[in-house]
Amino acid sequence: MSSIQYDVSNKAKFAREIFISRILSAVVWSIFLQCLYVSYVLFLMNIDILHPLQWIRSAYSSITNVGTWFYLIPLGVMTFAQGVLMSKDFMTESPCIRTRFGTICSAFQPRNLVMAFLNMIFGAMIVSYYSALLGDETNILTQECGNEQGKCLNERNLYLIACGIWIGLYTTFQRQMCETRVIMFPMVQQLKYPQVKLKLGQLVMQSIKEAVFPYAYFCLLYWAWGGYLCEHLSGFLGVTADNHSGISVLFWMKPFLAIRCLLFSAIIILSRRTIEMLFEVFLTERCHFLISSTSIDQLTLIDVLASPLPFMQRLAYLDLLHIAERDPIRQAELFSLSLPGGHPHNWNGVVSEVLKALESFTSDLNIAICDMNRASIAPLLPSSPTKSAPVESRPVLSSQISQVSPMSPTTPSLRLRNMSIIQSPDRNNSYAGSSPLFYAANTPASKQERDLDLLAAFRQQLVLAVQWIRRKPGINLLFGELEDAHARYLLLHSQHLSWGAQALAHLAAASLKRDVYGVVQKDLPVIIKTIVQLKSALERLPLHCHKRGLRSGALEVRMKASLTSAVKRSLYILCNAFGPYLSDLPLSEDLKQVLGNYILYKEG
Amino acid sequence: MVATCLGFSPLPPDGYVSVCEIDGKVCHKPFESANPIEFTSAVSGYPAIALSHDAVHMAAREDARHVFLHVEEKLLKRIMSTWYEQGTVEALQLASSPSDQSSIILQWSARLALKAMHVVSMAVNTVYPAFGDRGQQLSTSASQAPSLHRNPVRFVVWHPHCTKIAVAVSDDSVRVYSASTPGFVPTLRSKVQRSVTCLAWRPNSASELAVGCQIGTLVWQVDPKSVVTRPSITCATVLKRPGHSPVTSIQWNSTGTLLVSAASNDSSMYIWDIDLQESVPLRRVGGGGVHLLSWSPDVHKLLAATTSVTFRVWNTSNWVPERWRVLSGNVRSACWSPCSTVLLFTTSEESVVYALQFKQNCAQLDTMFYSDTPVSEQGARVVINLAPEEVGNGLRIGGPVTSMVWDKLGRHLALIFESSPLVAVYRTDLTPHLLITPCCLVKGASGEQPTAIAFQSNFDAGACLTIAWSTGRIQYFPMIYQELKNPNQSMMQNESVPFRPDHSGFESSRIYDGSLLQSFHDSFMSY
Repeated sequence: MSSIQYDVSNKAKFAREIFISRILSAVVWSIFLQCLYVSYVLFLMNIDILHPLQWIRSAYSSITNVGTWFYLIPLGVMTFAQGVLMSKDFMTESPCIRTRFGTICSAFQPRNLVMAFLNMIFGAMIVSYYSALLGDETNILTQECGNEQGKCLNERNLYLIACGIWIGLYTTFQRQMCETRVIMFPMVQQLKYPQVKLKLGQLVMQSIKEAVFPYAYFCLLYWAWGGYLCEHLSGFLGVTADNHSGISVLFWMKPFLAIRCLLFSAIIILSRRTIEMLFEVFLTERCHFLISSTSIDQLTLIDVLASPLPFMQRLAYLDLLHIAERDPIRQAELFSLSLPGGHPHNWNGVVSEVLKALESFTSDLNIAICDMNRASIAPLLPSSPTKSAPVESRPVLSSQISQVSPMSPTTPSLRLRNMSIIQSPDRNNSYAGSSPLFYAANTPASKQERDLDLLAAFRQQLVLAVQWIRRKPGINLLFGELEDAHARYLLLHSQHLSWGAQALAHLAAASLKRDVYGVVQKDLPVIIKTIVQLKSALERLPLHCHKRGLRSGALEVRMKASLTSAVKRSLYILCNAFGPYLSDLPLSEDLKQVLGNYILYKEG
Repeated sequence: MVATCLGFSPLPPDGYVSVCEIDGKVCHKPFESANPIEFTSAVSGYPAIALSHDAVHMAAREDARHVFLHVEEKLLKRIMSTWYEQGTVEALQLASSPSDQSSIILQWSARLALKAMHVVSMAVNTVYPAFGDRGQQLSTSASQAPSLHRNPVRFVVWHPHCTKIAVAVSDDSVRVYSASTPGFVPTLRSKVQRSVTCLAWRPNSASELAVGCQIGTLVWQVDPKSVVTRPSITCATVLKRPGHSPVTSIQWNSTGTLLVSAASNDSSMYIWDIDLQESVPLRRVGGGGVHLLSWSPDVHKLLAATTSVTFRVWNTSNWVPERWRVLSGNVRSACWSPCSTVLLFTTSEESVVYALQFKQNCAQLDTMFYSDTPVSEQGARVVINLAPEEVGNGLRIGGPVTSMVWDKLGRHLALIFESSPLVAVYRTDLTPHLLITPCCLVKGASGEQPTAIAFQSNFDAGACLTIAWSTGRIQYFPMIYQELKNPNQSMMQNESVPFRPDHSGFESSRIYDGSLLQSFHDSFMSY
C-alpha cells in the first residue's frame, strides 16, 4: 500500500516538475523580453535622423551602460514574483462562480490582493525606471520651490507615479473580474520562437489600445481627487504644495505628459500581457509521454490523463490526439498486450480515463441544461410573498398534486407555465400547514411533528422572502444566479474533451488495421454510446451564436461549436470505418438510428 | 528513361468520344449516344450536368463607361474626376500624358511622382507582394483556373465521402449536385462571393464547403436535409484577413480540423480553425505570394507553392518548412500519392512532371522500421516528359500542364494541358517503387477543351475521372477494375459486359499495343 502511495506521489512530483520547469522558463524569458523592451525604448529615445551613426552610437552606449541594467534587477525580481503568483491560475482550475457578487468576492481573495499590491509596485517601478531612462527624476517627489525657500511637492512626478500605480491596480482587477482565465492551446503546434514573434507584434498594438481607457479613468479620478492626494501627501512628507509650478486642474491635459503617461501605461500592460503570452506558449508545448513504463517511477500517458493538474491533463489529451492522428508506432504500442500477462492495460487505461471524462462532462452538462431550462421558465416579474400567499394557501387536492408530481423539477419543460411551485416537495409542507383538506388526507400528526411542520413552514417563508428580495432588480443583478454560468464554465474547460472524442474515434478507426489482438472491439459500443450522448447533450444546450461573422461569439459559444463539430467528426470517422459492421455491434435501436444518418451523410 | 506522351491507346475516329475504361480497355462511342451506363452501372444515378453559356448568367465585367458620350472637360476637372473614380495612379498618368491643356511642369512633376511611386512599390513588393500594381498582376496570373472567365465551369470537386459534386460556375455561383437527390441542386451565391477560384469539401462532415473567392474564403453549410435551393449568406462563415485576397487555393487537412488558405498577393498562408473562428498566419520571407496548396493525405506535409520559383514543403508537426526551387516559372499544379510518400508537381514553363519522394515507398509505412529521414534530399526527379507529340487525327498532347490529379488508390494520374483538347491518363503504381506508364487519352466532342478535372474520392469500383469541358458539359469517365468490384457490383457489371462489343462502338486494348509495352518496359527500367 505504501509503495503505491510512493509511486503516486512520485509521479505527481514528476508532473509538477514539468509544470514548474515550464513556468520558470516562461518567467526567465519574460525578464529577457523586459530587457528587450528597454533596449528598444532606448534606441527610439536616442533618435537622431540627421546623424544616424551618432544615433546608433549613443543608443549603444545607453544600452551597454551598467546603470541601465542595474535598475532592471528590481524589475526582474518583480516580474519573477508576478509570474510565480500568476502561475497559480494555470495550476488549478478556478471554481465555477454563478453570481456577480461571487465574481467580485473572488477578485478580493488574499492572493489577488497580494497580486494587486505587486502590480501597483510594478507600475510605479516601470514609470520610475522609464522616466529615469528618459532623463526625468521621477523617483523624487519633492523639488525646490520656485519663489519660496524650502521643498515643495513635485506634482508632475506624483501624477506619473500615481498613473503607474493606478494602471497596475486596474489591470489586476480587470483580469480577475472581466477576463476568462483559461489556457487555450493553439490550433497548430509551432516552435516557440515563431509563436512569440507573431504574438509580440499583436501584443504591442493591443497594449496601446488597452491603455487608453484606464488612462482616461485615471484622468477623471485625478481631476476629482488629485487635490486631496496632493494635500495629504505634502502633509505626510512635510513639504508644501507648489502653487507656482503651473499645476492646475487641467494639468493632465498637457499633451506631452499625456503621451508619456499613455506610453508608460502601455508598457505596464505589455509587460503583464507578455508574461501571460509566454505562459501560454511554454505551457502549451506538446509533450511526448510514454505509453508504457519500464520502471515504476516513469510517468506514462495514463498517469497524466488521470492527473489532478488540469494543465497536465490537457497535455496528455493533446499527445493522445497526436498519437491517434499521426503516430502509427505509438498506436501499435497502445494496442499491444502486457508482458507478462497478456492484458491490454495500455488501451484499457486510456479508454477508461477518456470515457470517464466524457461521461462526467455529459452528466454535468445535462445538469447545467436543466438549470438553464428551469431558470428560463421561472416567472419574469418579481412577485412579493404577500401577493403569492393567497394563491399558495388555496387548498390543493391530492389528486392535483399527484397529477403533477411525476414531473421532476429538473425535467426540461415545454416552457408553457411555471409549475415548479407545485412540484417542489418542500412546498408540500407549506400546503400542509394551510390546508385542512391536506391534513385530512394524511396521517394524524403528533405535537412534535406539528412543531416540525411549523418550523418547516417558517423556513419556507424565509426562503420565499429571500427569493423575493433577490428578485429585486439591483439585488438580482448582484446576487442573482446566472443561469448559464455553469454551462459556460463547462464549455470553457472543454478543449481537451474534443481532442479526447476525436482521439478515440481515430484510434478505433485505426484499430481495423493495427489492432492485431482486437483489444478495441470490446469498447466500441461504449465509445459510440458516450459520443452520441455528448452530442445529444450539446444539441439540447440553448447557447447559440447568432452571427456568422468571424469571432462573432463569446469564447464559450465558439467552444460549443468546436466541441459539437469535433463530436460529429468523431461519429463520421467511426461510421466511415465501421459502417458495414455496425449491425454486428450490440447497440440500441436509438443509437443505430442516430448512426444511420451519419452512414448516409445526412447529418449536417 | 521516363514516361512520355507516346504509348497511349489509339484515339477514336472523329465524332467519337471516350466513354470509360474497363479492365484496361477504353470504350468509345459516338458523341450523341455516349453514355457510360451502357458499359458499366458504376456511375448510374449520377447527376447529368451541362452548364451551357446560355444557362449561366455571366456577371458584367466589362467597363460600362464606353456606353456614355464623351464630354470635353477642363484638364483639372478631368484629373479630379479620374482621381475620384479610379485612383491616384490613374490621375497621375492622365496628368503626365501630353495634351494641349497640360503644362510641362505638371507633366514633369506627375512623371516624377509616378516614378517615385513605382520605386516605392517595387521596394515594398519585395516584402508585401499584395502592394501596388504587381499584386494585381499576380492575382490574375497565378490563378489556378487558366481561363477564368471564358468557360462556364471553373472548378469541380467531389465530396470525400459521398456522391456529391460541387461545381464552381463562371457566374460566381457554386452548384451542388448529389446522386441521392438528382432534381435538387442547391446554388450558393452571394454578393460577396466574386471570382470563385477554388472549392474544398470538409472531410468528415456532410455539409461544409469552402469556397475561395476575391474577398477571402466562404465556408457554406449546405445542410443535406434542407430543401432550400438558394441558401442565404447567413449559412456561410466569411473568413478574411487584411491583404489576404484573392484566395487562389484552399485545402482542408484529411481529418477536417483545419483549413489552410493562400492568396497570390499574400506571402502568408492562413491556417483556420473554423469552429473556434481563429486563424494563424504562417509566413516565410522570400518567394512572394503563395498561390497553391496541397495537404498530404496523412496530414504530415503541406506543399505551399509561391508565385516565384520557390516552393516550400511544411512539416505539420512543428510547422517548419523545407525550401525548394524550380528551374524556372512557378509550381502550377501538384498532387500527393495516397500514402503521402511522393509529391508530383508541374511548373508553369516546363513540360515535365517532377516527383519528390519523401519516404522510400508505401510498403514500408506499415512496418515499424521505416526511416523518417527525407529521401527528398536527392532532389526532384523528372518522371514524365511532356514534350508535345502528335497522337493521331491531327491532335497533339503535351506542353505546360494546367491541372493534374491523382486518384485515391494511386492507380491513375490525369493531366490537362494548356493547349490540348485531350485529357492524358497515366497508370501509376507505387509498390515497390513509383512506376508511371501511359494509359489512355480522353477525347471530348469536336471543339471541346477540358477546363477542370477531378477524381471521385469514394468510387469503390476503380477510379472515376470527372472532366469539365469548355462547353459546360461535365463528363464522368469511370475506370473499372474487375478485381475491385464487390459481389453486387460484379453481378451488375456482368450484365453490362455483353453491351461492350457493340458494333457501333470502338474499343481498343492497351495490352496488345506494342508501343505501350515498350514504354512500360522503358519506364520500368528507369527505376
